[in-house]
Amino acid sequence: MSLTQLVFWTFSALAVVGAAMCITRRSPVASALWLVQTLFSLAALFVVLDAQFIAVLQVLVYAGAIMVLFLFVIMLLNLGRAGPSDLKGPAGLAVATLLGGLLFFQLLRGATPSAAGTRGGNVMAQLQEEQGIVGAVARPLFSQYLIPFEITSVLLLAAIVGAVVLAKRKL
Amino acid sequence: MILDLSSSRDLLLALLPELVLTAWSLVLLLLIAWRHRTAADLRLAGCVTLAALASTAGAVWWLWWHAARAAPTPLAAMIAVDDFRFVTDWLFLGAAALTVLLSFNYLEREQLLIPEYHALIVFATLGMMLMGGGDDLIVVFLGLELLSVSVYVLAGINRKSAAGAEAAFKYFLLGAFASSFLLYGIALVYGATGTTGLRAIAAQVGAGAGGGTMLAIGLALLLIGFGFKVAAVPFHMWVPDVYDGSPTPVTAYMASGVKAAAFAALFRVLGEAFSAVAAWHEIVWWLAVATMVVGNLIALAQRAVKRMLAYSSVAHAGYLLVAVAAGPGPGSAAFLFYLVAYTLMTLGAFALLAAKGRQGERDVLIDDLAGLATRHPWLAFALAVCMLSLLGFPGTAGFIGKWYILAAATSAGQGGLAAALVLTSVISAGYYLPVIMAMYMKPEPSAEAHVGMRLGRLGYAVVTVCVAGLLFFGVRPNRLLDLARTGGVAGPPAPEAIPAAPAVSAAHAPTAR
Repeated sequence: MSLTQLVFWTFSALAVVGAAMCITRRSPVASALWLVQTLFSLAALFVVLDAQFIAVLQVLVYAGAIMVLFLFVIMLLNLGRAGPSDLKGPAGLAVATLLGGLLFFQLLRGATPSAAGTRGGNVMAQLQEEQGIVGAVARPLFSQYLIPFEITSVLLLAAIVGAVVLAKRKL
Repeated sequence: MILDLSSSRDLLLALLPELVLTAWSLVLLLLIAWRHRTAADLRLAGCVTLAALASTAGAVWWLWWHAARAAPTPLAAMIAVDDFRFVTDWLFLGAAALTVLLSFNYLEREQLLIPEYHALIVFATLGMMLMGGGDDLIVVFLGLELLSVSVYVLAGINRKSAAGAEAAFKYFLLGAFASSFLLYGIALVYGATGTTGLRAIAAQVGAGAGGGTMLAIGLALLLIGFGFKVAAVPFHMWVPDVYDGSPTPVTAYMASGVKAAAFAALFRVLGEAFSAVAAWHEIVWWLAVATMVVGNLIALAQRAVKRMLAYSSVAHAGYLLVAVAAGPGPGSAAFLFYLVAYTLMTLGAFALLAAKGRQGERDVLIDDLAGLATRHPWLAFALAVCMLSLLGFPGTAGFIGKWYILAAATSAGQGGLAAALVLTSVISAGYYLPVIMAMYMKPEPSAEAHVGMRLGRLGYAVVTVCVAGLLFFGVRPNRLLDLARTGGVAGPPAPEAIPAAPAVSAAHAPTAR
C-alpha cells in the first residue's frame, strides 16, 4: 500500500467516523466538533487529489468560519449543556496534534511540484501546471461559471434580507 | 436573432430579463431602506414591484419577438434561450404580479407593514425564472435555492402568528432536506457524466457513457428533490401545514408560482438531459398515480377550505406529472397549457379565500360558505368558476388542460395514466362540488355570516383576471395552445442541429432576423 493510499484510507475513515459521531452525539457542541473533524479530513482528501487550494479553502471557510458560526449559535441558544463532553484529556490532545500535523505535512508535501508531478495523467496536476493552484479554481469560476457565481451573490442578498426580516426585533 | 452566448454582449442580451429584474430588486431594496414605516411606503414598494415585473415581462417579450435563439456551438451554455423559457417566464411574472396585487389589502389589514415582502417576492420570481430557463443543473439549483430562501421567509412573514412560524419552520427544514437530495443527485450525475450542463449530459448519455448505477441513483435523488418541491406523494407531508399556516397571498403564490417553477425545471431537466434514460418514465408513472389517488382521497376528508385546497394542489401535481410522464414531445404543450390554467384557478381560489376576513381564513369551513350566493353573488360565481375549473368542467380552462393532458398521455401510450386521471377527477368532484352546493343551495345561517367579507378593488381585479382567463381559455384556447406548442422543450438536441424552432417561431415574429 503506497503512502497516498494509506493517507486516503486514514482520512476517509476519519471523515466517516466524524460524520457518524456528529449525528449521534447528544451534546450539540460535541456534534459540531465532530463535524470539524469531518471537514478537516475532507480537506486532507482534497490534498490527496492535488487540490491544495480547495483544501485550504475548506479549512479556512468551513472548518474555520462556518464552524465558529455554528458554535456561536449553539452557545447563544444555550444548548451547550445537554451532555458531558465526548473528547477530553491528553489522549484527545495527542490525536488532535497528530491529525493537524498530518494535514500540515500533506499540505507541505503536496505544495511542492515534485510530489504533484509523480502522479502522471492527473487532471488537477496538469491544470495547475498551466494555470497555477489558484488559477485552476478562479478561471472557470469567472468564465464558464460566471452566471452561477453572480446568482450566488443574489442568493446571499436574498438570504440576508430574509434573515433581517425574520429576526430583527423592530422593523 | 441568433445569440452567440460566448460573446459577452449576446450573453447579456440573453440574460436581459433576469438582469432587469435584478436591477429592479436592488432599486427596491434601496427604496425600502429609505422608506419602510407606513402603509403608504408599503404601497409604494408594491407599485415599484409591479413596475419591475411589467418591465421584465417586456424584456422577455422583446426576446420572444425577435425569436432569440442561442447559437448551437457552445454545449456549456448556462441559460437556455427558447420559447419554453419565455412562456414560463411570463407565467411566473404574471403569478407574482397577481400575488402582489392581492397582497396590498391583505398586508394592511393584517398590520404587516413590511415592505421587504415585495423585495422577497421579486427575489423569488428571479429564482423561478432561473429555474425555468436554467440550462445547467447548477443554475437550476441556485434558482431553486433563491426561490426557496425567499419563500421560507415569506411563509413566516407574519411574526405574530404561531401558525406562520410553524409553517415557515416546517417548510424550511423539509425544503433544506429536499435541496440536499437534489444537490446530492446533481453531484452523482456529475460524477457519472462529467458535466452539469443539460445538453452535455444528454450528449454523454446518448454516447452511452455513464449509463450505470451512479447515473441512476443520481437521477433518483434528483426526482426525490423535485418531488418535494412539487409536492408529489409520498413527498407531500409538508403541504397542508405550510399552506395552512402561511398568509393566504403567500399560499396562493406557493401553490401557483412555486409549484409551476419546480415543474418547469423538472420538465426541462428530464426532457432535455435524461430523455434517453428509460428509468425515470416508470418512476414518474408511479409518482403520478400515487399523487393523484392519495391527493384526491385525502382532500375528500377535509372540512376546512384552505386545507382542502392544499390537498387539491397535491392532486393537481399528479395531473401535471402525467404530462411529464407523457414526455417532452406530446406532453409539453399540454404541460404548459395546464400550468397556466392551474396557476389562474389556484390564484383565483386563494384570492377569494383571502377575502374571507381578518385572521379568519384559516378556519373557514366549507359549510361556512353557506348562502354566499345570496349575499355576494359575484364572489360566489367567481369561486364557483374556480372550483369547476379545478374539477375540469367543460367550458373552463381546466377542462381543456385536462383534455390535452389526456390526449398527450394516450398518444404516448400511457393509457393507464389517462384512466387514472379520469377516475381521480371524478373523485375530486366529491370535494369541489360541496363548495358550490354550500354557496348556492344552502340558506345563510345568519344575517351576519358574511359580514367581514371584503375583497377590495385590487382583489376584485385579481379575481376578475383569473376568472376571465379561465372562461376565455376554456372557450378559445387556441392562442395559448399555439404559444404552448412552440414553447415545448424539443427534447435532446441532435448533435449539431439545435432547435428546429426558427421555422416555427418565424410565424409570429415578422421582424425575426
